[in-house]
Amino acid sequence: MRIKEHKLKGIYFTDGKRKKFLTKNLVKGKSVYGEDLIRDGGAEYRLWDPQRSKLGAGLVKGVSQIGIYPGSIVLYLGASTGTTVSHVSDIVGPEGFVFALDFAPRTTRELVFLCEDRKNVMPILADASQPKTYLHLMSSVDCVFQDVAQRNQTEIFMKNCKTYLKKEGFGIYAVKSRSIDVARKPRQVFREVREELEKTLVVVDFKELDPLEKDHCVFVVKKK
Amino acid sequence: MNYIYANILGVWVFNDQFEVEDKLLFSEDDYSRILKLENGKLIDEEKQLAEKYDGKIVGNSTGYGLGKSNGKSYVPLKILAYFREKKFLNEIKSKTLRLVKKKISEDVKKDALIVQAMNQIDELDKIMNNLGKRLREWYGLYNPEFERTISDHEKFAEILLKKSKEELLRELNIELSMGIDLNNNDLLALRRVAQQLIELGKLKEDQKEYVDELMKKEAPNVLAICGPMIGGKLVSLAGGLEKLSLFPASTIQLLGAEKALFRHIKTGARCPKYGILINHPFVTGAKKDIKARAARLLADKISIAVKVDYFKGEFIGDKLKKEIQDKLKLEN
Repeated sequence: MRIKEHKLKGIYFTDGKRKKFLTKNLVKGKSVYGEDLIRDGGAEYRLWDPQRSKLGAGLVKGVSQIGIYPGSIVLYLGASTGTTVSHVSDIVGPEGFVFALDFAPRTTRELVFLCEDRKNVMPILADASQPKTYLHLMSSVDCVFQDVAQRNQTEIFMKNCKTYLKKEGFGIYAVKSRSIDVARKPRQVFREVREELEKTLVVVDFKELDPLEKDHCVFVVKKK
Repeated sequence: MNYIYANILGVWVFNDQFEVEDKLLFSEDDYSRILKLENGKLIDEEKQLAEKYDGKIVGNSTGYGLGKSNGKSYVPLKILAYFREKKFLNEIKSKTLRLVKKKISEDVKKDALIVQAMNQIDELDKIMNNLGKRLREWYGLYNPEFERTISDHEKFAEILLKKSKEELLRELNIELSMGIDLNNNDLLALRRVAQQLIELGKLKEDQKEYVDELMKKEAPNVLAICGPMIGGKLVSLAGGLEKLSLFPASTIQLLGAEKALFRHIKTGARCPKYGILINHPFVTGAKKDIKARAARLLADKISIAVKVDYFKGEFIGDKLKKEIQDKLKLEN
């Protein structure tokens, strides 16, 4: 098994029967959520589980751009216990920074431990639907990533992009159609979300995450 | 024109080229100040600088009548971009980390202990039941005649430890046993399971007492009406005293009957009349045709009691309990 660099910087993959994605481990020897660590010539890589991470699933489905580079500053909404956050932290590396926001104290407790291991991740305990309540903790960011299961998640995403995303910055938005409307067909929900996004942002890429995540999709957008 | 922006590090004055003109750094952490920033209140340092520079306050605290703000508040991204430097980010992180830790610890109240202890008791119940069933099957090979005479697992384990097979068979007047003979080693393995079962039983009793103590402190009124087990269970089902206190009485009435409730909503089956409250003596003691009425009455009073408990009111539990008893007597 050989590890190769992906065209998106900071991401690696192994070829074999199935393409597996990896990121270079920022904290050597530590596995965050029980994922495998793979050594390859001096460096250590962490295997990215696409079933537990919507960004990982997006990569498997072949998104063309994520807008997160080594050195980027990222606002991550819906950080939970920090599974995907840890990979984003790997990608941005020691020069970059991640603002990891979550609403629930219980999950943020786990996130705090991650932040103590990784210098480039900062926890924020706040409600993403009110970007103003964490204005005093932020800088502008290169990328906004959002994975929250809320009915008004599109509105939350747009608000945060407006407040924090720099010009020409990217946004990644994982949509759970069932939390917007259980009854309607996911495709229809996605179409409406797209219309909503296109009012102020440019949609760069769109991928449905079936079968890795049911009724989910990701949008990659760029700020005008 | 100047912009005045406050963050966790200090208050900053930017000119219209977005260069820093002046700043006032906070020397020590002040939790109340951070709360003010979070809730969009103006802090003294901002006022101070606003008077000095006659600038526009941006960020969360705009629209509060100072400076030249016009209601709509936003921070120009160029100001936020100033803090992209690594040294600022690291400083913000170290301060925020302390803030988050404080917030997380403040989030946990004493009623979280009730929830944990109640869940623990439920789990003990399950474990003891499994252990008891296994013990019976095992002992049944040796002495099936005695095994079927007693149904309580704990009592069964106690007698099994005290008396030998011969004694037990004599008591039951049985001459020929269907069981096989076991040597001391085999019996020891079996007896150790029985001992564990008894130990777990003691643990459960202790935990119940502990819940009783907690309830006395945290929810005396609920305790007076429903006792430690049902009261504790209500708190644990709701997920805390605060949540329980915000529930309407009808929700309390059906706590623990979620499955039946959703079946009712989905398929139109009959709606449940009571959840966990069915174990309460007032409901079990009521005549069949007024059981639902008793549950409703009980839930009403619990709803009052829990609100009094959560907002630290006086003790009215006895009065509420008497009211229920009086009403039910009339119904009976």
